[in-house]
Amino acid sequence: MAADKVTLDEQLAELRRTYVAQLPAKVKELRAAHAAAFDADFDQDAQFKYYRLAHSLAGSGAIYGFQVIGDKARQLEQLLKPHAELAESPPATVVRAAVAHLDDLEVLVRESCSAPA
Amino acid sequence: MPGQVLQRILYVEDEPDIQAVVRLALENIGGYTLEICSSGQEAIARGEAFKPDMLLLDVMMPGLDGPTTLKELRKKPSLADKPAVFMTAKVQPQEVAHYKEIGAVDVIVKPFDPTTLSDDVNRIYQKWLESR
Repeated sequence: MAADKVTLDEQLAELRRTYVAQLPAKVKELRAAHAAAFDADFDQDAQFKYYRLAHSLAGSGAIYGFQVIGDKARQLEQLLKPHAELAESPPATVVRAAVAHLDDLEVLVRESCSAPA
Repeated sequence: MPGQVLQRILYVEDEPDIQAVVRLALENIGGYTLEICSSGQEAIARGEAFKPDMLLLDVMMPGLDGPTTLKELRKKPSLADKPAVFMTAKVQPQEVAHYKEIGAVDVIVKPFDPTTLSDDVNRIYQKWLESR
């Protein structure tokens, strides 16, 4: 049983390492989704994809033990949700707040990636 | 229905990161046989052939969401009475009540603990058996 536990812990740790390595790309993908949704003409499909990506990071971040990243992504998701669901262009204040969340996420991910495993 | 053992779980989840953790938790820790479907459509197409003992569904998925997927799975005779469990972060009392109204026996809250997930699933299954 103890050996099984070690193996399991190792497997979880390996999954976590893989996940951490992918976090910078996930934030980059969020940035690209933000740009696609708002930088030129408003694109409602791109906004919905952006919202879905935030939802994904919110869910997976917490499950992999990165609660603060999950919480920050959840804030971004909640910010985008009403506009994504109504397929409407959000006000500039919301777009600016989303950028601030992305900036925060980038910092949090950088810290997580540099923390010892 | 004593002696009935949970073995086969049909799991519907669109997130590969979450699929990986659940696979580890339910296959490696729990010893269950898991069929993972990445969408509701996939579950509807493959669910019956897998012959699951339990349905485990994410709520928020693109395309068909968890509740809609469950509704469609219920139309298949062999899946009509299988216990269904939703996995979700949306667990306000009225949300949980709604999931139960539409046929879920229980809800697993996200984020879940991978090390206890298999026990949680088995506990729900045993409770469902006792209630029959």
